[in-house]
Amino acid sequence: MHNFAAALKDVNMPIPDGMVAWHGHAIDKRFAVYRNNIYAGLVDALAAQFPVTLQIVGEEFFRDMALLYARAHLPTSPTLFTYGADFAQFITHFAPAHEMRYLAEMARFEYMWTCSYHAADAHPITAEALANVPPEVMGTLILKFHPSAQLFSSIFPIIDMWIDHKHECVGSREYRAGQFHHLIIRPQVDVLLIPIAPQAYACVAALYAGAQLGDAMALVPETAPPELAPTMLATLLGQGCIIDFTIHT
Amino acid sequence: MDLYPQNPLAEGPIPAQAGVGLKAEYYPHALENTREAAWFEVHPENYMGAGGPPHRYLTAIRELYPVSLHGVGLSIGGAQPLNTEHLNRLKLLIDRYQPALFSEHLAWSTHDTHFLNDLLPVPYTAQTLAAVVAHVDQTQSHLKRQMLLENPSTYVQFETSTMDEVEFIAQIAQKTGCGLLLDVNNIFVSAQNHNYCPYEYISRFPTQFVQEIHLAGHNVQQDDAGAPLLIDSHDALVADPVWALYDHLIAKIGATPTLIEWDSNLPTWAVLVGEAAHANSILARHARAHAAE
Repeated sequence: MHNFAAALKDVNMPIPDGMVAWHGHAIDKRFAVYRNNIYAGLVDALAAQFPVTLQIVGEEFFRDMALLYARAHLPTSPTLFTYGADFAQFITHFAPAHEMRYLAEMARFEYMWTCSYHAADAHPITAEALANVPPEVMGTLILKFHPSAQLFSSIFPIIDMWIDHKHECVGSREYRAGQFHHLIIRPQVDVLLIPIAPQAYACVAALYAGAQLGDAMALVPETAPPELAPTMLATLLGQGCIIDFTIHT
Repeated sequence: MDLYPQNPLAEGPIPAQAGVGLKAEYYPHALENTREAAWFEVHPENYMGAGGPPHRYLTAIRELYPVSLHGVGLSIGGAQPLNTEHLNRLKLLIDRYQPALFSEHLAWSTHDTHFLNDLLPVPYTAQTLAAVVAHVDQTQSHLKRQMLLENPSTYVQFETSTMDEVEFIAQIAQKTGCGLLLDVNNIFVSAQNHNYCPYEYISRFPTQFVQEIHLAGHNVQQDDAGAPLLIDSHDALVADPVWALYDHLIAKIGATPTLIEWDSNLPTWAVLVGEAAHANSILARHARAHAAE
């Protein structure tokens, strides 16, 4: 089995001895079925995992790239929805994709989307749950985010591009580089992509990391509109991003 | 030997009718509860995430239908120890969904730490028999229930094999008390690929252990010598000679839960349940014939 596996992994290795066909002739095509099954299956798994990355570069480019990745990075678990964790990193170093600097970012986002999709379930709390917190301890509040919550930041408008590809309306707007922040979260069935204003990002990131509300609010720049932080907090609660809170005493 | 309870969920054993493989695309149809499929089978590996829609849908469908778990990742035919993390994940799913049946393949798919994503062939020797028996024993004791083992489709044979497939499988069932899942398409594919008679295979198969049957499509290629090379592709209608073989098998063993397996190039729901209806017509015809005897 060791030789069998080695010859499956390395297509340049000869077919190992000890295997036969009933007629005694060559078995190259027979052994090739196994080689093909493995890599075609892994490329299919990546195509399902990274659908917009595929759309951007097209079927042929994607399959060639995915095959090279699969040969160098076989999965280590039969749970194939976890496959491709370092596909984005591979794309970063994949010379034919160098012109498309956003491509690796798209793959990074699509993998995070899948992680949120499969993350543990939890019951969100509502804004009313915070109504009984005395105002004097409000600043010590620590919010617990839903297990599916992840922060995604990029200098490319990856989420806009992703949504446009999903809705098949690419070309309807112009993409410009900048600072883009989103919270990826799946409070119920659907994965939500909640935009976070650049001026609110440091605050949300601090809350996400477990900072007290008062300390996090202090990170909102003084130049920000006064309603920015309360609106953002209401959005987090309203969209089901928060599942619990503690008061630091 | 009957070490492990069969069908532990008393109210929901798999009926001796046709079920279909459940894919996300079919969730809405399954939830309509039209009974066009009598039961559903899933690959547990697709439900090993912590939460999210897959569990939500499977939970809702499990409330309506009996469910079977058909693993593709345990590597029971491998030389190396089973992955206990994977066994733990299976145990968690079995405890959660109480499937009427749990099955795995006579094949290997893991080498070192790599998952090779295919069902790879096992030489049939005393040594590999001992390894498979130990793995089936370990699986059944870990999961605290009986498992079914499925006959493989293969493309090569090993010079080192000292027994044939039927004998190998019969010994596993006798030594471990596991049940068997007989894949009729696999019989046909392997028989064509290795130039033996599929009816003769069935005549010798230990059918008393069979608790489930699989039917699927294959495609036909040619090997280096121009001989037929059938690929177990699960991407097409069940072929006519496979239906004939199935008819023969059901006449012999009586109505048995039968799954239509379709894993890629997925058909419409109507086509899929059309295949299930075809299987049901054969099951019903032989059930009547048995009743008339």
